[in-house]
Amino acid sequence: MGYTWDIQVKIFKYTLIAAAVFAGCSALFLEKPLPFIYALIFGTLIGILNFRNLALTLEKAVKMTPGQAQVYAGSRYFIRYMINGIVIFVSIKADYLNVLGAVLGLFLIKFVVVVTNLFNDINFFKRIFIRKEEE
Amino acid sequence: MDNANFIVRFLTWLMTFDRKALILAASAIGAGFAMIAGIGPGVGQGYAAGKGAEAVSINPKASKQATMVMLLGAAVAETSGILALVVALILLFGNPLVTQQGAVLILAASAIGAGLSMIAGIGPGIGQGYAAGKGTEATGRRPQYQSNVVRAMFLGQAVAQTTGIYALIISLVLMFANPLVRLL
Repeated sequence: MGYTWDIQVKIFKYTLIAAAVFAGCSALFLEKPLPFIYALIFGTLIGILNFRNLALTLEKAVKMTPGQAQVYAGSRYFIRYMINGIVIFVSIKADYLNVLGAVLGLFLIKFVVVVTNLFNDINFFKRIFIRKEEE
Repeated sequence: MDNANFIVRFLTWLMTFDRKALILAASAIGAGFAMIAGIGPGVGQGYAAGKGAEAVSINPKASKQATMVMLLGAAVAETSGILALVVALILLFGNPLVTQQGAVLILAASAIGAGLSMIAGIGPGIGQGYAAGKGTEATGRRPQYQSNVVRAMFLGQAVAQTTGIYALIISLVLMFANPLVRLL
């Protein structure tokens, strides 16, 4: 499964939880929530698969020379870019999918990555509010 | 005398076309411009991967941690590319300007402007990839400080993303809530 599997599983878990929360909120607050929920699920799953693809790409790239790794990672990025394009295109064209839901689903994993790594240490933030005189 | 001026002649020639055709043609140009932003994350991710390979060759024992940092950093670096893709595809398949009322020249220029503004996405793409590369390099050198490096890297990446989001806002304003049409 590769040596970044643990962190991938952690991020997938949080992403699915976040998607469920957004789906729940949309069910409560939107008039017609189904297109949004379908698109959210679609976007989230493709986002997760893209992240998995990125992990496999980078695990392979680190074993190459820096020059080769740059070209390899860059070329694989454009494949993921096309996949994202297809997802957004389908969600714009299909009436039963809401484009905002699909875009949110694609971005959800990025938010989860930033939030879980930036806000994972409460002490770091507690220290911000402690006055220097109190230390 | 006016007829001799190339710009006036060009604009007069443009006005001979159908209103919808002009806006759609401008949207096609705008969509193409927006896609230029896709270069940024490509360069950024390539740089991060190169730095990852370098970090692993310097300190093979820390390869797991370095790859983990690179994976997280590179995932975030993709964001501005997707934003540009969203704008390009809206211009192509869900164009809101076609049905809008107002001067055709302003609407057509707005379509091109919406695409042009997304070129700003190159900056965050390269910048975030650079941060991911440096984060990976730092983790390779000092794996014991991984959590601090990751936090600093994400903080930098989040700040670097802001200009990409400004570009997206301007692009969406030009498409969906164009203030220029009302000024005429």
